[in-house]
Amino acid sequence: MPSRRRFFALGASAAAALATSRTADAQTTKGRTGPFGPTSPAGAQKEAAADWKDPLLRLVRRITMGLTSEEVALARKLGYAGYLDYHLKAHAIDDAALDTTIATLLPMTVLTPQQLGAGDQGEIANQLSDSVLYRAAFSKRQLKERMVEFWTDHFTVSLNKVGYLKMVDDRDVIRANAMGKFPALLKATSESGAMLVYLDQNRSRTPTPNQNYAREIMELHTLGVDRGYTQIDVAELSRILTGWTTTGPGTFSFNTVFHDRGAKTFLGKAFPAMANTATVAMQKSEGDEAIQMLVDHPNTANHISLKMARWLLAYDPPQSVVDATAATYKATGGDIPSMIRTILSAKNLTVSPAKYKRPFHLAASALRGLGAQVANVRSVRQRADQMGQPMFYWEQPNGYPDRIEWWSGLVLGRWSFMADVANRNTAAQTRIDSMLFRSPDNADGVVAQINARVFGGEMTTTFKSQLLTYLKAGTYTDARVRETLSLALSAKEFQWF
Amino acid sequence: MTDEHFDAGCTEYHSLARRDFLMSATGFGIAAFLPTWLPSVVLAQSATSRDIIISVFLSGGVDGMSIVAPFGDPDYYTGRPSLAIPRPDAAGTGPKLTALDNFFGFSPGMTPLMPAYTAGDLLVAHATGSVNTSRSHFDAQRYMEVGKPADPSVTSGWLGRHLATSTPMRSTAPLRALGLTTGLPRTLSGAPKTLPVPNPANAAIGGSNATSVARSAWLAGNYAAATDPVSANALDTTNTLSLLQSINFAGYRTANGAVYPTTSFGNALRSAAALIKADVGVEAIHAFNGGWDTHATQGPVARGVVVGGVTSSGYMHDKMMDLSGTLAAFYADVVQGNTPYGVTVVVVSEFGRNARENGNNGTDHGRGNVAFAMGKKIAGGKVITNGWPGLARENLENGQDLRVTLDHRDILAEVVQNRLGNPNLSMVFPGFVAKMRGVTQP
Repeated sequence: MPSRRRFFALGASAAAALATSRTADAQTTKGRTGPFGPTSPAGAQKEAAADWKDPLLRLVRRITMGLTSEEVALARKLGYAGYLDYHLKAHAIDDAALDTTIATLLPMTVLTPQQLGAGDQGEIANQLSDSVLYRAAFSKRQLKERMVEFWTDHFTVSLNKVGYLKMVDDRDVIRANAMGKFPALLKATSESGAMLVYLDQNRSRTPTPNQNYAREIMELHTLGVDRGYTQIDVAELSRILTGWTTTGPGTFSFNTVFHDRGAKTFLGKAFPAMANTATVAMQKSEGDEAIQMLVDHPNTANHISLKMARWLLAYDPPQSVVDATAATYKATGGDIPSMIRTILSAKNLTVSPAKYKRPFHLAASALRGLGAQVANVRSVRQRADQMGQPMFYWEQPNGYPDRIEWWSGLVLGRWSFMADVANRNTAAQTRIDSMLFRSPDNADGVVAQINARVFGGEMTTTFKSQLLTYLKAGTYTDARVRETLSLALSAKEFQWF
Repeated sequence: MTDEHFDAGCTEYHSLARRDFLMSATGFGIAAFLPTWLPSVVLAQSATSRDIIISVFLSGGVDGMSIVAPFGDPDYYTGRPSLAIPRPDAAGTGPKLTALDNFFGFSPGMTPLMPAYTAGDLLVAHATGSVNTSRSHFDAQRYMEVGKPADPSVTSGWLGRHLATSTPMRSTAPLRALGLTTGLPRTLSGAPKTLPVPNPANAAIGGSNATSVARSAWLAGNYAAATDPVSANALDTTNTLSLLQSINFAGYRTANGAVYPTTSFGNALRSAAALIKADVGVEAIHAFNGGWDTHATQGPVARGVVVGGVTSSGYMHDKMMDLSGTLAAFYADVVQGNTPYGVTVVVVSEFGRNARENGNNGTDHGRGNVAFAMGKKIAGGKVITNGWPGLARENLENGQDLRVTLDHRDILAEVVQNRLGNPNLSMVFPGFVAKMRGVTQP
């Protein structure tokens, strides 16, 4: 019986939709029989990571936006633990050159909220989107970039709704706390103008509070859906949070006129009524206390740990890893690097199945693998957006899905992007120097360079010969080499990390 | 696959097998993969009477009481002072509802659908929705898309399972269903030969035309050798490419002078119409129409128009005009136009919104809602309910929300059985016995 169940649970076909039970939504790990995750009962599916022999390269794939020769060399020098440690201490990595470049190329990224409010809103949105792809591709703090993407989804704010406030949120809230402590990050989002506007908290006032933020801070940001709270708690938290609003260019403020001073009960705790003489600080402290209750709630530790393990390790992470990560959360006060260290042990990573690159990740990894020289990222970023993941444009507060079934049908846009990017050769915008790969300048040389630069030397014999066959099927020209590069990056082997 | 002939004597046998099937229905080659021992499945057969289905999901939780307002319920007016639209028979020249019967009326933004309604081809259901009480967008939407409330083990979608338990309408079709989406909608999860195609009119591998065929062939080879779950999609894609490229979307001419709004939803259904008329074997299309999460300044009538002393932002009105204008164009172009197959459209949303407005001229997450079905063989021209629960506080769920008295799956199931010709309702809607509500015509 169990094997038949697995047949249905894991999907008898190779259709991507059928990978559902391996995805974020899988509730069990039944059927996990091999070291690289579920083995198809149909006997047809080989795990995408099966050809990845080197644990160190697995780590580089997991904690960066894609392999480069330089990153692989660094990892080899530092070893597994040393390399992970290097990236966990993101603040210690000197990224000043990148900061200077971005401040020069995309000057709106360093404007004050006041200046942003008066600026060209379309250009601000473009510079924000440009800057995140540029940073993802070229920052030395690669693990931080992975976590910025994660937190950007976890604390999603729609650029369409909040405009320039997202520029401030990305810089001063998400990036400032992405590798810090979760409670600090949560509190920063709860006072972020972008979040308060996005979830209508800024306009919530007694006696008819708006429940939008009160619901999502529990459902999405902390406890997890229906984990330990009721409809009544949603309503009560919305009353507690009345008064949390913004003033001026998205600056947090507490407005006593909006606040409900009546008695409330939230998650079983009584919040007594306050006199109208209560100070601003006293009235706001109810919300601070409620948020602290969420921080301390075991369901928050579990929920954040599950999502982080899913992000960093596997769509369907082992419960033991989730539990261990939750224990780290409790022991360290929600220290994000410590939780990552728990998740990404060599023992955990070497048995984890590969994950499918989402489009943003894929675009960054292509720019990295190709050694792109980018003077103006806009056109290539706009092209990447067409793959289906324009950053900050997911409208709903749950963020872009971390589920393979959502992404795996979108192959065409990925192939088209690779055809586009491999042919870019404009110094003022994006330039791929094909001579990097034409060394020695013949078909075998090109494939050898692709193997070394893009795949960390782990290309299979079959894959190499497929590329050689394409290269040799036409005259050896620069155009043929670039097409071969685009195919290498479109190939199934490049889609996973 | 190797244990299909497992002991069939096990008492739990049938129920277990069936339950597991739901967790992830089979993919390509349904005839090959659908286990012969699965007892109750008789594949729905091709028949000229089978309709193509267009499934529309209004994400964000549409305020059904703004779309189809219950003007016959006085609490509609007392609970929504700044949102309620005056009765059809109200005095004066201001905005008013258009009566659908003596109780419900269309908002001004929905009137483009009146021709379909009066022709008897558009059915409205009210106080409908999921029996699942979640007011979480994501949970509510998820369980509506999978077609079984509150069961996290079911991961495939109701429409996906319909397709998995039906023979293809055209056996050679490379693409049976698509989502006009940037990702695969859960509604279609589990369907064979099904892809998200965000823009069917622009389906091509970029790069040099001279080598596109060779590159497509190379990719087919590369993914054929693959064994991961992306591969079948890749192979379907290479087949679908040539199919879509054979259709002249840009030059598509609508029937009956239909004009689609130039919105993303309008463009999506225009592409759907072109695909249907191209007669390439596509039998199900899913589209999202989002942005209905109107917590504030909802704007139930045109911008600048005053209702209840409040000047409307026009936000939801514009959304309704997009929705109704697109569906009306599709109605004229496809339902009334010449198509090789009949077409049925269904429209649902994850939940309705609070019976009473909030302090921001908006509405928070609620429960009971509207749903629509449209087609030549839909028994339309009426608003159906399973008893209007009423908007007085004591009649509301949690004192806040219109109750759900009509499981939306009744509507979908009747369409699946009678218009899509699939008798396997227990597979499409597991654990649910649908009541036929007279949604379809014989």
